Amino acid sequence: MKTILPYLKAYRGKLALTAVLCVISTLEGVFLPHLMSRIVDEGIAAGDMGVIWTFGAIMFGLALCSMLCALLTSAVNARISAGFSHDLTRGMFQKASGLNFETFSKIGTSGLLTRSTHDVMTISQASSMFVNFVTIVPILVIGGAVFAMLSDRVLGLILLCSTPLALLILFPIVKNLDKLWKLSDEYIDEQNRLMRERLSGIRVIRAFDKEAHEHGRIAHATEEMAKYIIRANTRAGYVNPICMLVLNLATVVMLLIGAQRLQDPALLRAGLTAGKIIATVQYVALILNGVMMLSWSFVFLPHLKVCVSRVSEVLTLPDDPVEPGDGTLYPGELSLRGVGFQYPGSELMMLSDIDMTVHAGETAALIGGTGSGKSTLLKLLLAFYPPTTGTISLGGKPYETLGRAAVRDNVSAALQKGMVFEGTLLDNVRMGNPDATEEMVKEALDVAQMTEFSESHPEGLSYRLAQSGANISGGQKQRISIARTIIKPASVYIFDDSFSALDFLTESKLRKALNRYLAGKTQIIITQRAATAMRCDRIFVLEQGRIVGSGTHDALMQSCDVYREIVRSQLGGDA
Amino acid sequence: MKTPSSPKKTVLRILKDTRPIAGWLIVASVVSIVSVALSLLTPEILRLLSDRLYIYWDAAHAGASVPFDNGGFARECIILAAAYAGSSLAGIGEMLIMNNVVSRHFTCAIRIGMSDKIRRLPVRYIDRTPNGEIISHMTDDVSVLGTTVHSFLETLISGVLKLLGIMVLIFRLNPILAGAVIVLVPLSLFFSAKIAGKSEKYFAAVRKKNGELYALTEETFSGFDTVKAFHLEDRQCERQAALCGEMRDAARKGNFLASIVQPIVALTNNVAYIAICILGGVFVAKGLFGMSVGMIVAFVLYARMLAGPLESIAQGFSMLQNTIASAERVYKMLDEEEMTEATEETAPEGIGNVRFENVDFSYDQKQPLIKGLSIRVRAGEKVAIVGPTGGGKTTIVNLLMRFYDVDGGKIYVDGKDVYRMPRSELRKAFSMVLQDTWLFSGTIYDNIAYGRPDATEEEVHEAARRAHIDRFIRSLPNGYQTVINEETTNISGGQKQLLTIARAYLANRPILILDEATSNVDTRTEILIQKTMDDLMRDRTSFVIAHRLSTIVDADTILVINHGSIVEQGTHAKLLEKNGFYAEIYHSQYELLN
Repeated sequence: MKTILPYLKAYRGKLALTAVLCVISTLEGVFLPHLMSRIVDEGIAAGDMGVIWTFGAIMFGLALCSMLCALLTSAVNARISAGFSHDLTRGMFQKASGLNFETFSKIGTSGLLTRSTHDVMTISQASSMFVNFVTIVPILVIGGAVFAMLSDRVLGLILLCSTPLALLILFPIVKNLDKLWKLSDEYIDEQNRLMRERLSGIRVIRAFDKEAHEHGRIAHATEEMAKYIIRANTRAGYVNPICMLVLNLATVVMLLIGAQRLQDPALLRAGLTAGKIIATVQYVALILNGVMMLSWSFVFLPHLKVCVSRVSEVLTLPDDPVEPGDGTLYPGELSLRGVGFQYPGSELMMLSDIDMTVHAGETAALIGGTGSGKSTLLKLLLAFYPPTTGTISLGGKPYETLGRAAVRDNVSAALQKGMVFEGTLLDNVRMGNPDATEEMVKEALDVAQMTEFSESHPEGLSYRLAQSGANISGGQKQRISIARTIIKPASVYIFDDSFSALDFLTESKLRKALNRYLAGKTQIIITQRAATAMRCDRIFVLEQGRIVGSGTHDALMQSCDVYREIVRSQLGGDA
Repeated sequence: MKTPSSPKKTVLRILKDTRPIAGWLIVASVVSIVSVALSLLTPEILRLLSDRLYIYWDAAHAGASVPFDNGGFARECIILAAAYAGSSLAGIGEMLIMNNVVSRHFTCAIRIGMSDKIRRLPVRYIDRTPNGEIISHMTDDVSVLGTTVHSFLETLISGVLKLLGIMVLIFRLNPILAGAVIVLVPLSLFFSAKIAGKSEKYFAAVRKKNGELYALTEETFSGFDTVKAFHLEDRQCERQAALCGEMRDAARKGNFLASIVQPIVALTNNVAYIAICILGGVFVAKGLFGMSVGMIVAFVLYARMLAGPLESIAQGFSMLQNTIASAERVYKMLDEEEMTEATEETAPEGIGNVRFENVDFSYDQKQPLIKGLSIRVRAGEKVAIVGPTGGGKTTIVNLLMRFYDVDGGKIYVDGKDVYRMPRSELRKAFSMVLQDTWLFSGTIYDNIAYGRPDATEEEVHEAARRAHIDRFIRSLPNGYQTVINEETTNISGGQKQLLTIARAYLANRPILILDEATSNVDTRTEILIQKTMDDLMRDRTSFVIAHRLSTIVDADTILVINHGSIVEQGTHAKLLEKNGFYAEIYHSQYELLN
């Protein structure tokens, strides 16, 4: 809560205003029955038309005033909730993008995604409801009871007692509602997961004629989900009728006792009237509204609490933003000395004793199987994580002295996934170098073997890529990220498995163009393919987080068993 | 909302869909009539009680001594209590029916129907529709539909009944006061419907922006490393801020409009209340129309009862557009054209002869892919399919397995026309090992036995042994009972691939399809997989899609596919001799070396 409050603070003036407005507009509801009782007692009984019209006019004035207040409340609340939601959503996003990798991975992509969308939405929807709620409910319940007391102390007391009674009966009913909802949520996830699994495996499933089986699994999850949802809704469905029953029965009791009290001459002399008894009956309806709102809060609050605590968890993470560097380029010599690494919180050494040097202008390959630690090494080279032991230096300067911004200015990498963003082709390439001209972008795309693609679309460079590149293939995404990588002015260029989705013919053309385009720059190619690594100036063979061999292809064929094995398996015995 | 007539059609369709639960709806209506009738009775009783109190007090405080009929008063109180209790109980009964029958029918049953529908939809539909979309139809859209239909039917059954009942009763009490109430009521309905329509426009904008915001957030978080590597934090933050701003502006307007409905409805209700008090008061004081204080009380209560159904009708209006859009998406999927099944022929005999005869095929009418393709594959032969990425190599698999149907020509397996037998019968002749290792969340044992649930334990173990994965499985703490799921981390991609090979082994079908089964696997596993697959291919007809040409030089036929069509066909030696496209690809992998 502490982390969310500052976001509400900006609206405290408006919040106070809406609270005041809310009080005024709700009080009217409490006043009306009182005024009616006076019409009955002073107007009708005395046959005084003037009193009837006067009180009628007062009631009308109150109703108008109440509506105006309610309209103003709506306007202010709309501003508060939209504004608060806006601020919190932005705040969360900014926070998340300023995280470093260690903290980011603590919560994870999907965790951060739910927190900054669904959870924030729930909180901001609740925020405006909550304000109304804390002002309206006490006024309805307390105001109703006070006015009832003013009419007749005993009747008011009965009314006041019936409220906790209703809550007492409702509490066990709504208490476990959130658990039921949570269970049903779990089955929704299960159903969706099974469905996703089925859709992605549709070919295998049909090949083995297992559609009926898969359908059965999903239907089971759906049934279970429905069971819990229905159970939860049924419980929630008891709230209104039970509330009403308790308070309505209280009315009956009030009427019976009211009739007895009316027959007491002493009370009659003290001013008890039929109008007052009738008015107290109407207060029941007011309190009913309040109690029902209150019981809903039992249902909603636990859910809100979960959302708030999840959002707070993110907001309290330490900031670690990297400001863009000044763009100074250092000589492209990378050297690693005794580098070892384990992920924070993990006991497993992902990399150990890495010693390697790539000289400026060289093209080096890093080859190894899945899980050998290639991608982890790249993360260290990009300063996503500091190494656990040892030092990495660029152009003779250790990474710690350079700082992360300078490292990322000097090291440009195409990552394995081939990420593209919603926007034009031009935008996506220019992310590497915002100052690049269209000509430069075209050249980079040409090197990446994407000219055919951009020319096949009439929009050319303005061709819009969908979110996460949904409208292009994996290979095309890889090539766009290659273009983005090379257009960035840097001293070291790294390609992480960037050619894996390309056939040999395309790869061969791309590599040739790349060597021309990046002549004089340092290149590091991370791969599992022997054919990709072979022609490089220097090859480092990585296995289980260690370098088991380094040198040229010919030297490694002589000296390194692991390398020989890789080459044999991929190119047959003749290579 | 593409055509103006479709919302109406959709609403009719929803109504028609209630037919299977019509019986329950009638029961719900009967229960609802009891509940509504009893609740409408209560103001009447309160009228009597109020009159007793008022008449007694009016006389008593003037000094007259009149007896109070305590017995009669208590009797009426008991009837009132009984009416309250009966109405609440019947209300609970109706709620139970609505939840258990209507909600179940419109959510659970529709979802299961959609899942069932997928069984009969062509692979083409699933390839073309993003998985997320299908899932969101099944969850979000159905949930919107279910919620609205529930409240819609509830309003239709009890709300309308209540409205009519109140109208009749208040007219009987006093037509003039009733007239005042009835003039004010439609007014509030009119306003709220009007405003709701307006606010929906803004909420649609909010939903749209919210969708974009979600996508942007997802993109940024899932590409966090790229964002960091290229300093894109500020760029993404700026875009996010712009979307947030647009969303705020729309939300502000939408929220405002939506929340002024309540005060406006409240005002009209209050005006009705005041009119009743003033007019009623004047009538009683002047002794007109036989009006009594109790009648004023009854009027006030009836007027308040009107608010409930009116509010739910107003709410219904605001949800209508959204619901219709959801319903349309749900029905569109349920109405998708299904596959037709021929049954003239039974399963192929299991020899393994395959023949394509003059096959034409295209994914998209505008771009013909395969024209006049003829291949003849004899039992036990190995057919390799090679070509650049994205060239359409998997098309052959799609046609063989009848995931897609040809546009022209014939395909025969063991001499039988595959279009004259049910798909499931045809597929009994095939085993597949695909590049994406698909395993379902379940035990390793069940995954291997997937294609042959009747296999004995010994056969399952034997298949695992043949696939060189038995020892690994036994090394796991739970052995064959180890559960594979999304979180499984102790099984590598290569081991998963070996499991799919074991699965294919066990299925023991005459024709084998291997689609780039060894890409993305580390070296040592690859050697294992290669050996196992050679084993598996022995004595079987096989179709091999390969990235790496070294594995297919011994194929009986090589089909070279580029831009979707077969450009060359022949043995390795013949194709090299031809010095065409195949030769170019073949040399390119060595060109990298020199």
